[in-house]
Amino acid sequence: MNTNKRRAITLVSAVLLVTATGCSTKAEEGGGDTTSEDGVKIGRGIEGDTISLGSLTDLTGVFAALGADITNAQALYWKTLNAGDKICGTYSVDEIVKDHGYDTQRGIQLYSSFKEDVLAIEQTIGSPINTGLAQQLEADSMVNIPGAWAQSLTEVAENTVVGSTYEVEMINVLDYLLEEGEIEEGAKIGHIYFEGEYGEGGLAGSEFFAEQHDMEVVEVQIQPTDTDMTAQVTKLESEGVDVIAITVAPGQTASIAGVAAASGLDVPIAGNNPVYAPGLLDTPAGDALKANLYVASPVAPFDQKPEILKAYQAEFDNDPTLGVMFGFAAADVMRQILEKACDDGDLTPEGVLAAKESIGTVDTGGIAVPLEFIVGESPSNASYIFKADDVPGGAVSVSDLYEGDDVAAFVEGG
Amino acid sequence: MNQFLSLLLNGLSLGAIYALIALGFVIIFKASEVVTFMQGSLLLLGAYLIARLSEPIGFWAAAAVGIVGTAAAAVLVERLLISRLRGAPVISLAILTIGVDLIILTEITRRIGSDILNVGHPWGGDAVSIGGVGITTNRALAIVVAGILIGAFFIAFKFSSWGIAMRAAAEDGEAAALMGIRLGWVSMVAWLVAGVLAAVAGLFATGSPTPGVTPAIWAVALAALPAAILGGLDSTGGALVGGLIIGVATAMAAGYQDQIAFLGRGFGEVVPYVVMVAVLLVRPSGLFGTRDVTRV
Amino acid sequence: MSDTSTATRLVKGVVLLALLVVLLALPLYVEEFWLRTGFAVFAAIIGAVGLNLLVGTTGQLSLAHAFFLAVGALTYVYVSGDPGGSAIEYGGFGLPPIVGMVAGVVMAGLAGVLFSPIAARLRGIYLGVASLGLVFIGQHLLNTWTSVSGGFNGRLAPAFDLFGFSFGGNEEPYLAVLGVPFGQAERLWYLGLALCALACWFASNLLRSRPGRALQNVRDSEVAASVMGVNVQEYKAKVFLVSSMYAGLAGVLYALSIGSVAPESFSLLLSVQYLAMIVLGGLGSVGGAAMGAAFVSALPLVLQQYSGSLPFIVEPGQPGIVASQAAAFLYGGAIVLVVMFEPGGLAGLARRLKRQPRPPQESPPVSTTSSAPADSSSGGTPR
Repeated sequence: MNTNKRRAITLVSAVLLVTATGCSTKAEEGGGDTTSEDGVKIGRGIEGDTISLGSLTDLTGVFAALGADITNAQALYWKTLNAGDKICGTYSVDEIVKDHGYDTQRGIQLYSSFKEDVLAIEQTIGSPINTGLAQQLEADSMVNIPGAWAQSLTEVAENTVVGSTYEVEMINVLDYLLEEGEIEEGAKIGHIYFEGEYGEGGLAGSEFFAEQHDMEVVEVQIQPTDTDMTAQVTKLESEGVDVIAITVAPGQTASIAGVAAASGLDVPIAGNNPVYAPGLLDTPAGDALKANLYVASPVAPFDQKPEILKAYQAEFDNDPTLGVMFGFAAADVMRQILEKACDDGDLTPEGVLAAKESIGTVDTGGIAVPLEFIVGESPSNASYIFKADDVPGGAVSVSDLYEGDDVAAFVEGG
Repeated sequence: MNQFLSLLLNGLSLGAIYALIALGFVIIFKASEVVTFMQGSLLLLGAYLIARLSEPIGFWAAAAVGIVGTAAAAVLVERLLISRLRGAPVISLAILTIGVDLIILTEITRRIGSDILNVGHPWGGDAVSIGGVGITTNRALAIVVAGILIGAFFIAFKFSSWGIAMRAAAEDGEAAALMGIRLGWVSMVAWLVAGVLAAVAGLFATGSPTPGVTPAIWAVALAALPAAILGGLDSTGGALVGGLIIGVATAMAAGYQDQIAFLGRGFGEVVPYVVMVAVLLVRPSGLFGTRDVTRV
Repeated sequence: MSDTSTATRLVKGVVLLALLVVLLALPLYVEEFWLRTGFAVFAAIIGAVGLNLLVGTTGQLSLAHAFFLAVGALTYVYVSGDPGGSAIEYGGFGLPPIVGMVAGVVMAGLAGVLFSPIAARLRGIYLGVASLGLVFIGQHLLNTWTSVSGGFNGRLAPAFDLFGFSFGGNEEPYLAVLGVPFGQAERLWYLGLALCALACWFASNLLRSRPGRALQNVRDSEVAASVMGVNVQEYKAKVFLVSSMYAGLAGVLYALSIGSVAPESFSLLLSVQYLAMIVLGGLGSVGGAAMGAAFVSALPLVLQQYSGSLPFIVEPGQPGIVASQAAAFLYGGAIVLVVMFEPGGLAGLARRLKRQPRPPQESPPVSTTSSAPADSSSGGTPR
């Protein structure tokens, strides 16, 4: 018993001693901005000649397909850049990639694990995570490229949305179908959409379009876990729709096209960019997709940029999706913002944010639609329209940059 | 009317798949007093094996291997884990299956990655018309095959020595053991049957109109759990009825969502659980389940 | 005899005291990431202790814990949050956060009481599956009732403050200890620690009290309990009340830890994680629940943080097992091993170690046998 007591007392005093005497390692945290040799102000996220960029991606959750392609593409982009021009001719880029598996709490915690070490974030997948981070992004002046295109994202100054919003995408693809004579004025649109901001964004687009063209929208809301679309398509068939609009995920797209074909509902299908993945062509619905699916996308299909496809396939051996193009586009936008900040002589987080706000129109050389960042507005009015086909990336463009006639009215009105 | 018939038919086909899984729950519960939460990963395992193998060795051989493999996995779990814990609290056993489920699910999800695996059914996306109502061939076959399998099971349950042993074991395990019935054997066969049923359900659940094998089909088994519960966890007939009720109710709620919009859009997803809770409130042991009678 | 028990109690007290001192001092040394992880762990501990009262002590299997957490979190953001939202507008009373916190706890308790008539009718496993339904119905409600929840993407959680002392947001009044400025993470750490200690203290007192013993009677045999004069239905309802109040508090802290609340965060997976916590920790033990909660909630983050230096985990993007999968393997495997070999969980293990202080061959392997190639390295996994 005595030994026990003695042991215990020793333990406690040891703990107290360590606590009291140990000078806190956190106390001397320096921080603050400095000026580099060539007169550029630098701060968080830059060590020597290296800029660190963060990436909050999903490699194990529901958006693993998108996450892996974007991550690979960005790694390739920076690798090429680091071996060549670098940023500002001086800085090479280092990535800190974190996988949150589409778990909001984990995503937010991982943000806190690297926020002191990165200058900006080149990819954040997951709308709930982007929403949850909004306040912290503002507090940290952390420029962020979300892997999503919701209208609400554009309302945070730090967010750099690469592409049109879901609303604009849907208007564009429907307008394209109207122009091409696939649908007519006064048609009936059946819209199958996810609950949540993504689905409701697409729906707002089709509703606005319907108003302009004397059309009617039949709404069917579904949940992401539901992949059997029989009941939903049956409903649309009995309503006699002329076109199916979809704001869903690839699994539902295949099911919708398959069921529609099986039940003889041969109408065009218009989708937002996340509805499609090239793997769908191997499913029984492949032929139906090739015949009827039209998708509006923020980035060009590979047939417009074969050199990117080639470079990617030389490095990675998976079947690329358009996530690769998005990854390149996002990295390129980030590069241009950093270059601008460097030209302005301020590569601190605040400087980068200022550069993002003052950069004007960003042209990624035809990888993504032209972009202009104004808080609260869709960064672009244009989309690429593509059809599904048996080519790498699974998509061929059917038009150049496409901007629907009603988009301008929508952007002003909304 | 046409829409109603179409929804009914599709609901029944969905219900047939649920019934297969629910029957697995019930058989395992009767034989080894375990509520298994791993039917989902067994279903996924079966579908995954079939999809991966159908290209190299052909669909039919792949289906056979997938079904046998899944049954083997189920038996393995029973032999290595469950059989050693005879008499452990029901909760511990249920949680154990959650642990196993987590491991299998994580591994298969990792292997599938971001792909949608195509099972390669010979009937592909074909459709048939029954009395003017369209349904995919896959779903029509699901009804037929499920009917045959469930029928065969009922016959075996009634007449085979295993069926009799199992009924005796479920009635009173101790007495059955004293009569010379090997409880371990009964339990093992139960898991084997449940594995087969899960794999067959997986085979049809991943065919048209669903796009193929994704980790998400794991959730199909979750919706079958309410089916088993509302039928009565210890009633094999209840599993069949429960499965069909859940299938039809889900399809109807999705098809008529405008009429029930006041319940919130996307209500179809939660229908299985709402139906289950409603039934349990009236009949705490399900529609056909044995009532718990407490005697002191 | 009594000598040894006094000694044991003394040692136990001293160990607890030492632990407390370390926990109090930690914000002076460790990075914000660890403090935030710690706060999430405190929240998880509170929730796990509550679930343990229900499942471990009283023997009522519940998969509905995520639902009660959601009620707590949503009540907090609605009562204390301001109206807002751009795409989807939501309301809010904007009352002081402490009011929201108390309301969150009360509402969750109320939800528990409302559910208890159903629970009282159902036995054992039927209850487990019926409670599973509650999670799905709850998520549907959250997604549909957008004026409260903000819909699919959720809404921001207001920062906590207490009588003008802020735990986030503006960080007023300024405070620094030993040269360390106390920001949001440091403040939240102490808030979590205090609430967690309080919750654990209350639970262990409850377990030792008369009602606590009655609950254990209910678990062991409802018939025997009622023969001994325990009103089984009433006790079941009460334990549902207490357990869901714990969940409510955990939900409020969960909202504070994330900074926002989205329906998706309260899925079945969360319920399963809580079950895993109490099984790993040891059913019926408060300390065990705390250990299990720390293990399950911190493991994925810790593995990710050190993925570079752990041999069996690859960096994100490489083929192989990434951190979050390794964590799932580890705790899936740990559940199986615990149920098979150590039904007392970590708490049982600790008890056994104390009784026979022979260090060798005492720690069973934590890793799974076949599914994760982790056998060699997982012995050193932080627990």
